[in-house]
Formats: sequence, C-alpha cells, structure tokens
Amino acid sequence: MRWWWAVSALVLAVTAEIAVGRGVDWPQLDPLEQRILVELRLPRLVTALLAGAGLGAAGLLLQAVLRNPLAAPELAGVNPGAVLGVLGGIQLGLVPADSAAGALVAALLGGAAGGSLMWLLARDGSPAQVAAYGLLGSAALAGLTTLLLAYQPSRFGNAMRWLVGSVDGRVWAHVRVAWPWLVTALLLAWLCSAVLGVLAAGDGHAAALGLSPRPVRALGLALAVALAAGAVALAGALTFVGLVVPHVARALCGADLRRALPAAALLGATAVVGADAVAQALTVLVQAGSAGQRLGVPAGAVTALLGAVALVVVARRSPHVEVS
Amino acid sequence: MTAPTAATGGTPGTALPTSPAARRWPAAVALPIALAAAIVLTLVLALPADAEVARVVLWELRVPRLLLALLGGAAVGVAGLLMQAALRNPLAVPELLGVSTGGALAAAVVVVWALPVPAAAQPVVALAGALTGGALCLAAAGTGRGPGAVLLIGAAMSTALQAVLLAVMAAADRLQYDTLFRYLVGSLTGITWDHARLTLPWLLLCAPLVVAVLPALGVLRLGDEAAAALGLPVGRARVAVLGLAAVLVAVVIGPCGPIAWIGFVAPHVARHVRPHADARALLPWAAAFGALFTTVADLAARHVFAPAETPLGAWTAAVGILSGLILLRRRGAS
Amino acid sequence: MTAPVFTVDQARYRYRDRVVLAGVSLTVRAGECVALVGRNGCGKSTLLRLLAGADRPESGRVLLHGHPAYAQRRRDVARQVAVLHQQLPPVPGLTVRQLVAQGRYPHRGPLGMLWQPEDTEASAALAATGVTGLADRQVDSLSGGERQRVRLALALAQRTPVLLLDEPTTFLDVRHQLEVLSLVRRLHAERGLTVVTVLHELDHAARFTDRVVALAGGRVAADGPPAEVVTPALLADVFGVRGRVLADAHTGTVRALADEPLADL
Repeated sequence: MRWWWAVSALVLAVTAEIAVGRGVDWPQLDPLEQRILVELRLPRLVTALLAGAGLGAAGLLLQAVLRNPLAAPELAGVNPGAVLGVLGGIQLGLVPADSAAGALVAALLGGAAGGSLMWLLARDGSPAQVAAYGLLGSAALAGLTTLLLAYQPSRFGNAMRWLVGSVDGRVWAHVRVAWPWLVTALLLAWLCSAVLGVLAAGDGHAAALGLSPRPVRALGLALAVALAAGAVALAGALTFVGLVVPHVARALCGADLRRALPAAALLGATAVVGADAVAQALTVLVQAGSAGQRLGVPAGAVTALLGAVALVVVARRSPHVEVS
Repeated sequence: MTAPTAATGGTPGTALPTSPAARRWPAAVALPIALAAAIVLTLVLALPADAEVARVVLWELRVPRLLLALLGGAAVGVAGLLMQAALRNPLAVPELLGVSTGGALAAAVVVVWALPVPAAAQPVVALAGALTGGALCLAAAGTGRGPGAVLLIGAAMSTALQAVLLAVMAAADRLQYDTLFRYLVGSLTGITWDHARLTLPWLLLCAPLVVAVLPALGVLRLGDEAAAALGLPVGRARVAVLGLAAVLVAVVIGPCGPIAWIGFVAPHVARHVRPHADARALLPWAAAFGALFTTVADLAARHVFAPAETPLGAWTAAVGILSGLILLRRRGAS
Repeated sequence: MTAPVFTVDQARYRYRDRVVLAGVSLTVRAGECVALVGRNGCGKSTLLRLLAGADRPESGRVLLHGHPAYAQRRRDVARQVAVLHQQLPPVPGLTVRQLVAQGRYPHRGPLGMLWQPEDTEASAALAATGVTGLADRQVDSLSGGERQRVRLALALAQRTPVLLLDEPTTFLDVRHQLEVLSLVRRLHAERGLTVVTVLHELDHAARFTDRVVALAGGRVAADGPPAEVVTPALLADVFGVRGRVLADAHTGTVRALADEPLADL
C-alpha cells in the first residue's frame, strides 16, 4: 500500500518534469521537438532520477552505519569534498571542464578525502556533535572552494552547478558514464543491507552476532561515498536530499534497511525530479523580470528550500533538540 | 593546595607552565604587538612613491579601510562570543543567524532585477536585508525553545534564505555576478569614509548594549533551568542577545559583505587564552582577536596574490575555520 | 563430568594503566549455571567479554571448546555463544520482530538475511520470553523491563548452547528481575544451556545459579556452590561490608544481609 504511494509520487513527478520542459509542445511533436525531448529532456530526467536515488540511499546508509539521524552526505564531508574535488580539478586544469568520467573520478577522490577528514575529526562525538562538526567542515570546504574561485569570479556561474546542484544541461554522454557506477553501487548496497542493518543496532550487538563492526562499517561508508560522489559528479551537491529523504523512507517503510534502502532510492529520485520540475517552472518566473538569461533556477535551490522548511517544522515541534 | 593558588593568583613567575595564567600573559603582550604591527603594515605597505598621492591613498582609502577592518572584525568577534554564550554551544556561529544571506539576498534582488537604487545606497540595502534575515531567523526560532532547537532552526532558515538567493542569482549575468561577489564572499576593497560613516554610529550604539547584556549571559551560563530559577526570562533574554549579535554582524555586512568565520574563531582563540572564563572576561579578548584576524586577513587579501586582490572573506573562511576546527579538536581531546 | 566449555588459565587484562584481571583461572563445563559476583569494576564484565571472544587477554589463555576464543571466526563463536550486554543503543524505527530476527545472522549469513520468510526460531524466542505481543512495537518505545526481555529474546534467537549475561536485571523492577532470572533458569533446565551471568545481587546468585564465582582485586576470591561461597567472610573480603548470611527455609537458599560498610582498608 505504502509502496503505491511512493510509486505514484514518482510517476507524478516524472510527468510534471516532462510536462514543464521548455521547447516541447504536447501532444503534437514536430521532428525538432522530438529531438529536444530525446536528447535534452530525457537525459535530464534520468540524471535527476539517478542523482536523487544515489543521494537518498547514501544518506540512509550513513545514518544507519554512523547511528546518527543527522548524518547526511552534506554533513559528513562527502558532498563538499566531492564538489571541491571536481571544481579544484577543473580549476587546476587536471580535469577537462566537460568530461563526465573525469568529474566522477575527481568527485570520488574528493568525497572520500572529505569524508575521511570529517570522520577523523568527529568520530568520537555524539550524533549532534558530529552533525555540528559536519556543518562547520562543510562550510570550511565551501570556503576553500570559494578561494579557488576567487581568482575568476566570472566562473562562479559555472561553479554554481556543483555548489548548489543542478541537472540543467546534462546529456546522454554524462548519463552513460554515471549510470553503471550508480546502479552497481545501489545493487551492492542492497546486497549488504542486511549486514549493515545488524550494525545499525550497535557495535556490541553486531560483534555478539559474529559480525566484525569495523570492516562492515568501512564497507557501508565506502558505499555511501560511492553513491554520494557519483551523484555529485552527475548533478552537483543537491542539499538536504540525503538528510531528509531517509527519514521519510523510514517513516513509510520502517527501519529495516532491506526495505528502507530501495524506498530511500525511490523517494530520493522522486524528490529531485519533483524539485527540478518546480525549478523549471520557477525559472520562467524569475527570468521574466530580469535582464540576464544565463542559468535556470538550479534544482538544488528548490531541494534546499523545501528541506530547510521541513527541518524548521520538525525543530519547532521538538523544543528539546540537543545540539552540543 | 598551594600550586593552584599560585597559578590562579596570576603571578607569572610562580605559574606552572600549563596553567591558564601562563597562556594569558604571553598573549597579553603578543596581542597588542601583533595588532600594532598589522596596523602599521596595512598603512605603509606598498604606498605610492609620490608624496601627494600617498597622502590621499593613506587618508581617503587606507585609514577608513583599516578602521572598518579593526572595528568590523571586533564587532563580528563579539557577536560570535554573544551567540556562543547565549546558546551555550561552541559551534554557534553568526553565519547561522541568516544575517549574511539576508544581506546578499537584498543586494542580489536589487542588482538582478535592476531596481532603481543608486549604487551608493547599496550598503544600506544590504544592511536592511541583513537585519531582515536575522529577524526572520529569530522569529522562526521564537522565545520558547531550547538552545539546540534555536541553533537548528537558525541553520535551516539560513539555508532556506541561501536557496532563495541562489534562485535569484540564477537569473544574473556575468557582470552582475562580479558586482554581487562582494556580498557572497566579503571584501574590504573600495571602502571609503562613506562606508565607515554608515557603520560606525551603529557600532557605537551597540557597545553599551553589549556591556548591558553581559550579566544575563553570566546567569545563562548556568543552564536554562537554573537561570529561570534565578528569575531571568530565559527565552526573551536569549532572543535579545541573539538580536544584538545579528545587528553587530549586519552593520559590518552592509559595506563589506560577510567576513566569514571570524565570529567563530575569535571567541575560540579567546577561550584558549582564558580557559574557563565567563563572557565578561572573554569580551575584550574576542574583540581584539577579531580585529587582529580581520586586519591580517585583509593584508593577505591585498598582498598575497598582488597585484590581484583576493576577497577577504575567502581567506577568513578557509584559514580561520581550519584553525578553529583544530582548536576545537584539541580542546575536546584534553 | 561434562566437557569444559570455557577454560580460563591465568588470564591477565589491563585497561590503559589499570590492571583489571590479574591472573584469573576458571573452568566452566557444559550445562553449568554460573554467577560472577564482585564489587563494581572488579573485572566481571571484562571476564565475560574475554569469554565471548570480544577481546584478547594480555597474557594467559581463554579457551572456548579448547581453542582460543578470540582467534576463532566471529560467526563460529556467535553460533556457540550468545551474549546479552548491559545496554542497547537507540535503534530508531526498528521493531521488536526485526531486531530479534537479527539474532539469526550467525546461522544465515549476510546474503541469507536478505530473504527472510517467517523464521520459526525468532518466533519461538519471542514466545519464550513472552514478548510476542510486542513484536510490532518499536524497540525504542519499550519500557526498561520490556527492552530487557526483548534483548533476551534476541540472544535466544541465536539458538546457542551457551548464554552469557551481563547484569540481566539492570533497569528492572523486582517483579521483572524475578521473571527474567526464572526464565533463564527454566531455559537452563529445559534446554541444558550453559549459563554464565554477571549478577549484582548475591541473593539472586544464590537462588538462581548453582555455582558462584567471586572476583576481587582481579582474581578469583571464591568459587563454589552458593551455600559454601556466600558467607559473612565473603561479604567482608569481597564486598567490604559487615553482614549476615541467613538460611531461607522458603526458597531453600541462603540470603545475604549487608549491615554496614567496613572502614576503608
């Protein structure tokens, strides 16, 4: 029953995304519109699906493995590290600006480095402390990114794709590189979900059941980094998807990772596709009164806004959140 | 019992090497020297050879710039201290009050939609936006919540404002980006007496208020319940202190944009020098370190990649926060 | 005499600079029900961890069925020995049934856990501890007594011949204490389980176990049937209290009454 809700939400989001895409007037498509649909709208849709699924699943894995409801790729240093990796690679000339494979490698290296750094800094802290460290560490990495950009402020527009997250302008060439990676990582994550679920109930619990906590945690973290960095390489650091979606997935399907993981992937995809549909609609509104026509409203701005509102609502309901 | 007494007595000769006093006295000597050196370097480094030009550069550009770096840095450092004390959280930073994003958002709306606002009025617009952003965050947090919830709501609200900012920025063209860059990163480039005249009265107004809230902060240090038991209206006092911090940061953002993370690092370094001290004792240190760090960062911004000028905010963010994290980590380990 | 399950030979263990175990020797045979008692920090829980193979002794040997417990594969140990630790971290959203089903991991393995039809062992464990009615509640919403019984169900779901319990009565009120200990005793009798349990209350040790091992100063201070071990001398030497030991005709066991703390030695 609940799966039907999730699936219908996804269908709705996909329909909206296809419907609001510019340059295609349904239902009669001339050849040009057909090409726009196949070569621009569809890869954009697939990009949003893949990135959302990757971030949602990565957030769920992190929350389970670190036993921290506030864990998320953006707070665990993975997303900022991946962004820094990609932008640094491009800025320093190591990665061609439009190479999907280069971006993937750079995002993986950066994400792993950022995640390891945050892990070293915050591993002993309480969940809220880890999140607070993550907030600061993310800001520090963002500061470094800004420093990289400071030389050429005019590149800021292009960099915003990575900093905020956007699926605008992604074509099949990008999708072709990303999908095998993300799909493999998702499958592996599902195969490991039972083991990671045992770890989620505590190290002592896992050890008593004959599971060595450390290698399993390392495996879970590596999978989370692979998923998040893959998503960032494709669509940039879409904020709040990895933080909020896992909570919704658990509320719908329970904490059992075997079911929560596919649910988080599904809902993450829904969230990003829906956010991009809203972003495209907003783009028309925002650009109506302005002089420039450079970038569309990034999908990341919409996910950030919705996620932040959700967070405010939750925090206002629970007056005794402890962040120390 | 004799050794601790000697250490807290503060006589440098008898203090143990690890005692707070041993850290305080070198800092008390080193800080003014460093500050003086930074001031002198800011004023004299790379002055034009021609005496007349040099005089104009010195009085019309460098002095107001230095003044804003010193007072702005001190204000942001104090704002950070106020926030950390009011929320009893070493990770509370002025960036989580929505102030800097609010300022940037107001500036972006004016620039992107080409609203009829004269360029000279831009700092005023940014100041108004910053104050509005802070007010929004505090209104969302309300007076009835604990420090954790306030912090979380503040973080979420600033992120939401950031999202709106980015949505607006999406419509900007390349030239508008360059104009807005200051409000995204923070910089002291092009500061004149006009800017200083906008900021300084506000700061003078805030100074007595800061002193006035110090006793309340001392009571808040005991925890919400104990403070309420002592008769302090905890929720209202907290919002008042946060509001004051927001104003302090906002008046700096108006002309300079966000000078990131000084509000985080300065109080922490102050606490490193004076561990276990309360807000009253930390206040001058936080102000002095804020002024010092901002001035040094501005020197770096002007001279490291000379002749190109890097934005000040990028330096404070990257260097300041890394050192802050290390500091915090070391405090946690000990 | 049955075969030894655990053989501890001069085991020493140090935590940072503190010597926790200073040469403990002990043999536990199949089908025994043993209580470990002693003051706080005397190394009871550490000894239990060593028995479970969760840690390695600094010197000496801790053998499970004749092989070093620490060196064996974790899953092999978990098929032999189930451990009930002092506490479980919060597990948001996890239901009782899902948690107890994880007890089947040692037998099913990582991939076997992915497809999980109704598991009779897990259901039986829920029934044995009387928590079937709670099966679809969230673990985090349970009271202390319910949680403790759920954790016992988790250990039983492992279906091991050996059960190690670390203070199974913490957080429980009197009624639940008796319930849990009676349940352990019944399982011991019905299934022939080997039980080693850390206990705070000497009365519980005397009533629900056959053998009491008292630890003091990192060594075994006394070892034997409750009636022989629980004496005023033990109260003084091991627990540092002046007290009396009375025979209880109703339960047929001894009861220890602590009267006052002895002056520090």
